[in-house]
Amino acid sequence: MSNALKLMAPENMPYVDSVREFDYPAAAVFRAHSDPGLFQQWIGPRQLTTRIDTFDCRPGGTYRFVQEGRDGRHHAFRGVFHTVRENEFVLQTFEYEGYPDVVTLEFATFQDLPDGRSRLTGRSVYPSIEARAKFLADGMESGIAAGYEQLDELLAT
Amino acid sequence: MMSNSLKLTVPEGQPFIDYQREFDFPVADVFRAHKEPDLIVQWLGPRGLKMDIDHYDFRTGGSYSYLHTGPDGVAYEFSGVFHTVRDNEFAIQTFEFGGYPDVVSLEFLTFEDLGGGRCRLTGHSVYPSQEARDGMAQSGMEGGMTEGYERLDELLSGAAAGTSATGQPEAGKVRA
Repeated sequence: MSNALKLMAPENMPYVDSVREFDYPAAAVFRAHSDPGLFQQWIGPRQLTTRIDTFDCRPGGTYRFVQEGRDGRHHAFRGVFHTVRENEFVLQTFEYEGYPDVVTLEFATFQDLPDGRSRLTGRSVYPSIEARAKFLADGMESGIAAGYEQLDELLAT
Repeated sequence: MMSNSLKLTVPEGQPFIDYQREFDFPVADVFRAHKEPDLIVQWLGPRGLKMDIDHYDFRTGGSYSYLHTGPDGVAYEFSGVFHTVRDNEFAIQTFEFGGYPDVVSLEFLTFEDLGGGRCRLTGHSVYPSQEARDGMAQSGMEGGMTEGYERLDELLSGAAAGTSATGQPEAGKVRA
């Protein structure tokens, strides 16, 4: 697939960097990240259903969503938006409530490319190398990859 | 007074800054001095700076923004959000200096009761790049934090003298 997720975990640094291109404009990809009704349709791996508790995508706004798997287990995520610039940049905190207080900082840059395409560049900043290792071991890469495939499908409709 | 000096650690090749500071005051007092806008304006940052709060809402999901103005009239803006606040225990917040937009750090603050009316504050700051960490470490932050915590000691000494019979009268003078 030409728009495959590139995920990089630089050695001995508490970061995960990602690049993903889309055959859709930055404004469409941004809207799918900032509109809770759209976000809940694509975020996370397949087979999970997402319920939004709160989702206020503006500087100082908060969010929380709960995902339920087919095994009936719930996974809740929450954070605060530090910066939101429409169609351009989002910076937010992120916590999986299953790992309390292991909070990350998520940078997302939305960039238009020629021909109605766009690129999403991410950096996740972890509080320790160990915390990063835990998230990587939890299947983070396949979850993100599957989420973006669902985002492609959503934007195609 | 015991030696409560700031211990600041800048690990080689990792984008972190860690610090510890003990206080001869109960954890609830030190926490309150971080939570109440009317108190934090009296001690945060180096001496000689005036702090003006735009908003400061120290609770889970809250946010803050303030200006530090130096004697030369130059103003520095700082802002962020509070991801987690647990009273007398723990806080996580983002931190951005307006002079370096989007170079945001994440700050973990642990408040710990040491018994005997003393407490320890432990901080862990995480930067979005090694360059950002190095720049912050070289910005004079250690001196600014050292002075800020000295001002916090002075503030709490004044509060203790004003409200408790055990306060040391000579320590009760709040610096003008």
